Amino acid sequence: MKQRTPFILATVFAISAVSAFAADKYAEMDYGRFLSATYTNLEGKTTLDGKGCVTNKGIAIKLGKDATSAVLFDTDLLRMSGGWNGGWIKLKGVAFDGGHGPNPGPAADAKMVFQTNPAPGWSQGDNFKDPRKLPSGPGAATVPFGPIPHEWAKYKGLYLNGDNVVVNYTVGTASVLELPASEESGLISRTFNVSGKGSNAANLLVADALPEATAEISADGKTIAINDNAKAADSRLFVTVIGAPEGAKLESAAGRVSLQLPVFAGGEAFKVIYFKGTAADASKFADLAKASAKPGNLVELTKGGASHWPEVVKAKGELGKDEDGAPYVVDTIPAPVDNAYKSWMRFGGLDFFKDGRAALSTHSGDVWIVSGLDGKLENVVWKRYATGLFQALGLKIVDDEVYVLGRDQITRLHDLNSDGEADFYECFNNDVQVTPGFHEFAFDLQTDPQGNFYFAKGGPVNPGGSGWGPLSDHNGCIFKISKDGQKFEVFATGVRAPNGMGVGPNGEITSGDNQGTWVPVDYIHYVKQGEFIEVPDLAHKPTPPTERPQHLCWIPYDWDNSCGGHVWNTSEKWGPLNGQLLYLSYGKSSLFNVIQERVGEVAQGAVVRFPLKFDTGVMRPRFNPTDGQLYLAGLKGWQTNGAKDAGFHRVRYTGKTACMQNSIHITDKGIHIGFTSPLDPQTAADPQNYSLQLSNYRWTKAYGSPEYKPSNPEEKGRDDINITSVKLAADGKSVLIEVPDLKPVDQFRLKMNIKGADGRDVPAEVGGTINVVAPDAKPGVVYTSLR
Amino acid sequence: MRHSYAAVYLLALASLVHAEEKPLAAPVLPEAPAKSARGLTVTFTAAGKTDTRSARLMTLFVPKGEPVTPFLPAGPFTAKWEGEINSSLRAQYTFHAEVRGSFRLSVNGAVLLETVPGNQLQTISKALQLNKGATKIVAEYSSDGSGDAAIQFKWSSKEFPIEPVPPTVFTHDINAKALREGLRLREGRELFASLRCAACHGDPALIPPRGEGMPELAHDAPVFDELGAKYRETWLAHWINDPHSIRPHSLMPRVFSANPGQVDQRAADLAAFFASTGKADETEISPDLAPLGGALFANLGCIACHTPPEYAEKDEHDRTPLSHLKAKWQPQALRNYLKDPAKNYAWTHMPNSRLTNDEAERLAAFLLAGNQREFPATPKGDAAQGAQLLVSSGCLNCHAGMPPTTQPPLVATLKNSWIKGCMAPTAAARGTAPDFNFTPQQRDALLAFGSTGFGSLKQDTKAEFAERQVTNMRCIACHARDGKSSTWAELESDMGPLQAAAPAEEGEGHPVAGTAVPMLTWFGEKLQTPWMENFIAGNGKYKPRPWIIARMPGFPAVSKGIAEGLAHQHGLPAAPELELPVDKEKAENGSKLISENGGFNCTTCHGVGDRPPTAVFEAPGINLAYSPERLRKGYYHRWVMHPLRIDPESKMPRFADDEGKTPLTDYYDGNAHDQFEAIWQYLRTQKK
Repeated sequence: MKQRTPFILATVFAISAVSAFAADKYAEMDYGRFLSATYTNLEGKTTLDGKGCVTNKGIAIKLGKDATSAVLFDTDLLRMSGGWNGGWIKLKGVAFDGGHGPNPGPAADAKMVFQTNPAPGWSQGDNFKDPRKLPSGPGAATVPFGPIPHEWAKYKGLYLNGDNVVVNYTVGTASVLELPASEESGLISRTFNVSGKGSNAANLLVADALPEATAEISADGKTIAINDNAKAADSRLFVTVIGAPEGAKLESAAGRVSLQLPVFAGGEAFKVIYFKGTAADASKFADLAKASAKPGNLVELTKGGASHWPEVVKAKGELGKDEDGAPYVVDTIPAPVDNAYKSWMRFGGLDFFKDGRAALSTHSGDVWIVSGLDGKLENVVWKRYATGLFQALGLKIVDDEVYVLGRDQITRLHDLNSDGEADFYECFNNDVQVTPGFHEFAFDLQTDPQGNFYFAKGGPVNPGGSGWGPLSDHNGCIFKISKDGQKFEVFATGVRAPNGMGVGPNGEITSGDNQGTWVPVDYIHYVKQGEFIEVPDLAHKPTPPTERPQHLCWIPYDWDNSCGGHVWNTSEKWGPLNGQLLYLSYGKSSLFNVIQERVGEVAQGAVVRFPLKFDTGVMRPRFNPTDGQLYLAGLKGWQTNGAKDAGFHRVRYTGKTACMQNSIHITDKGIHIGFTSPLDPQTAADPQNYSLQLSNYRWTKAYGSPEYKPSNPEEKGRDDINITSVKLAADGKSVLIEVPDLKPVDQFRLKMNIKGADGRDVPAEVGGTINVVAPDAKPGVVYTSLR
Repeated sequence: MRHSYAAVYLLALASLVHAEEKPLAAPVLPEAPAKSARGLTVTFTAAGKTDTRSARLMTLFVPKGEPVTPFLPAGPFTAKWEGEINSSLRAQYTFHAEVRGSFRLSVNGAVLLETVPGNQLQTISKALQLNKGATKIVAEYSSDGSGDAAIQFKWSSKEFPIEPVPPTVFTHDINAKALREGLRLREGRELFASLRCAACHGDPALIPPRGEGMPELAHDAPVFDELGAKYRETWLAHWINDPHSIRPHSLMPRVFSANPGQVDQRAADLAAFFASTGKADETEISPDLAPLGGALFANLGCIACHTPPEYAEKDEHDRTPLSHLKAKWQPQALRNYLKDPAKNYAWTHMPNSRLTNDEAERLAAFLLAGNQREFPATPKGDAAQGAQLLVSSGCLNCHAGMPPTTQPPLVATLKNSWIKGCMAPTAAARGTAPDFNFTPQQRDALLAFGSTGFGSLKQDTKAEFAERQVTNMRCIACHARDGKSSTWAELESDMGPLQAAAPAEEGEGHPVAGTAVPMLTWFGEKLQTPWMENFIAGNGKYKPRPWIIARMPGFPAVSKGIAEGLAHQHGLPAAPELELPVDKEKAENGSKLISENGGFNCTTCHGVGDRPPTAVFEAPGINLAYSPERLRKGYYHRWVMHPLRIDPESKMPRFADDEGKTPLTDYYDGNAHDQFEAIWQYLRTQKK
């Protein structure tokens, strides 16, 4: 899109009032047959303050070819939260129109057919009581979150086949396939196939009507009519069961309609149909029910179906220019912005298959696979692989299987019929708790050498940014999930908006955070299991901590105001920075090398920015196993200086000499900085070319912290420190910047206007933290990590 | 107006001659070792006379026909800035000068920039590597007086776009004798005006008519308006007896000399008279409101200029004490005063914070709470005697603008060389004259000023007026300036307990407490002068930053002078900037560039007119529709090009890289300036 034509100019004032504001890409996008999100009821209420179809982990499933009806399935409670006619969903909230606070809900014109209040979708015996514990600690919500116990019922995933979406879960020891559908005249049906024997009687939650309503139940117990509308005495919800197991019957108690079922023997197939009308529609409903098809065999729908997304996007990448001798250049792989499905490209996750193809997830819930990532990037092909995930901001490929992190769960994607599209969205683990808080994003997805998974979850920052919404037990935590997905544990607490973490070759767990409440500026932290990291409000302890652990380093605010992910350089094809930790700034669209040392048990270090430009908020780094180069994906989803909605870049090593900082030691003589290749002695040995500033931060509940002078803790600013001399090592590859009396300080900024031996500029700024000052005779140990 | 300045100068010369009949001698300044401080020294020369002062920036703007300093005549002049420019390390910079006049910059003795002679607009630039630390610079400028005189001195580097060279990188010797002499003259001149010396020692030959010359000569004093309805008699007696014991910087002299520790009967008489002039509304204000008032005291910034009422120690920030308020005020009168401090005193330093009734009541409750200073009983006063004293003691000279009756005119005071009367160095020599509690330095400053013959009272410069009022009104108590934190920001730990006693509501729509108000450093370059004047006066139609509890209080008596003077300080005329009609093509592109549809997403944090921002989070922005009215265009471009260069704590992203390109290559090939200009044009089309 170049500058406007005169024709369009003529309408400038007419259109400007509208066009200047929110994007409408979310409204144009084809999301596929379902979408996972937190949902409100029709009145906009959530699980915190409302009843009906309010759902924290919901899958809104389109019914009918044109999505004229929909149901909402709750994967925490295994309940069908509601069904309606009159459209699919109203797209509201941070991932859609960008709104802070709202969540999507039933379509604005929805005519609710039925709803259930939050409760297990299947009882244990006659007990529908919510078994989940309330969250605990200061600020905790007064409603429970997360899935019900696995042995009660557990979500297994969903199958996509044509327009059909079949959800799969266990009830006790039985396995259930459930297919929602719309039928003639506004009927909504739920077809159940049961396999395996049940462990105990379990009744189905059918609907919640008015508590005081008197139900009319047919003599055989297969049909019920009940008022569910307090404003219309004549309103009726009709329900009937087709193919019910022997002894099954509908019942009503205090407005709750349930289907009483015997213990499953396995092989049951039955269908529940819903119809909304008035008392006079009883016979009409009977006729419709009679005409409704018998419950089908759902297993046939679990083998994959016809392709949904046949249109691919072909593109040609742009190679970065390296004629000026740059050791690293940025290649750009164009995102499939103009795709047939108008899928809004905003990349939130990235990883590679063994053959060099990459899978990228998006904020809007897609996964795309891109091939053609060769040296020339002339035949790049993008293919839509999956849709409908809950803000997919993390992705990991293990043994060529794609694992995607949504807010609701880690989903393992399966292409059952090898047509290049996922047909089974397996729930790998969904133990994480979700509240309606708009800001509790789930970030990144990593594995350790043992195969355990890790991700991080933010705090429910209030709309506008000040204070927190009601807390679950999982807000502001880092989680560890076992390799088989069966064990979920809180690994650490006290993070605010940790958009990215890293796991090293030797199991080093690193995390970061965004400046904000209790977070003075961004930082990099080595996470120990069980520790509290930074934000006392999210410590999940009876008494908020008054101390916090030391971080590897703080990062100057003007270099990074919004963190991204971490990656360790394990590639032998990416120049001289083997074993180094790399760090991304989403807010400043920048890549940093992290130089670090260990002094005893204490880690300390600094970041050095690569002199490279990216056009989006890069936040997910991975090395491609086939070419050994670093790839970065990112988005513009919240504040960043990146201007493009999506970006996918390759940082390619050109083979030219790189002269970059690669080590640091802080000693009582000063700061030792090591480099990857010899320096120009004339510039490097001259203290005129160096400056050093020191500052501290305040740890308060305020949003971030200004810098304060160590020499006067009440005064904002930095202290300028005298550098007495600079000594260049004999091999030309390190300097000692002599600064007497260095003391621990939150932030140092070391600026150097020096050149490498080849005359090229060296990255000019090193910013980090001094946690401890070692004797020069016994400095710390440079820390790198390789397998 | 311009021809009137020539007349002023002639009058000034005449008064110099007049004064030289009995010249005062400026005390000799002792030598002092060199001492480095921020800023530069600038020496002006005109008509064979020189005058030296310090300068924050190497900039100036002097309208045609106006003097460059109060001590020099209008017309041709030269200016010479001297000092050092400091670089944190050896680095390459490009220096730029935009000049109306002739200019030459020398660095370490070598000429770097030099214009051709003349008064035309000239722009020159040249690159230079600066070594780490201080590098000596000398800049010489001359104006032939044929037009406005102007200079702006800027620099740029690979790390930042072109900007005025900031005050933080200049240093100069503040103990240089010529500089100290110039500053002492200014101190004396300001003391003379603000202490209203001319109210008692008027002299039409030396003092300009009211409303002309140095603006502070119009400085009023509080009107005696039913003081008995406001103040308590005992306190009044103590105040009249010895104002400086209550407020160390009081402009009011001690008129009556009692024995130390005693209240003079005449003070008691006057207090009795004042107490009889009004009836107090003695309705109490609920002390339960005090915590809410305390939070306001912290969050509105009162604490930056005043110590809390229970605070009795000497204050390192030189704030005005309030420990006497309980003894001084009738509660409802205090409440009313807080709502309109200038009602009876136009030049009061106390601004109008546009308090609501509830806020004023809460603040009053806080100010009257706790353990405060007690004032012992005073001799019983005689109101009738007090009424006579009101006239005979000269009170009305200042407080009602009455012509002096008993005091000698200014020229007559010169006969005793200012060693007697008010200016006497000792109490004995002072006799019954008022005691202004002069320090020796202040007395020397007044003598030095007196030695110039008072001609400078008949003229002024807006730049210097603004600088004086920035100090007097304590602007930097709330606003950081030139790299120095505000007093307010340094008091955050003191504010904590006050805020905790009445926590502000949190969440969307609730303004937050904080001291992060805009820095004063660039106001003259940043804000459109008319808008700034209006805003400083407290007459703004809107609050630019509605998300913070703090609000800009009004200083109506000095708003015009500050606004115009700050513009001149930055080398800019005060007149509104004019622009060509809106470029519609650019405006159309601008509408896209601020949007979330392929633009910079400005609208996420910034509203535009009546359209609110789409998703403010932690960092709300000012409604962009205000920008063209509020901001100078040059500053707007500088800000959007590199916000963190101006405000290191800003949440505003930087979209332009070091080469001036943005990632949005679909518009103007990614040229950041052109894209930001398009946004500017679009904003000009928006309703405020």
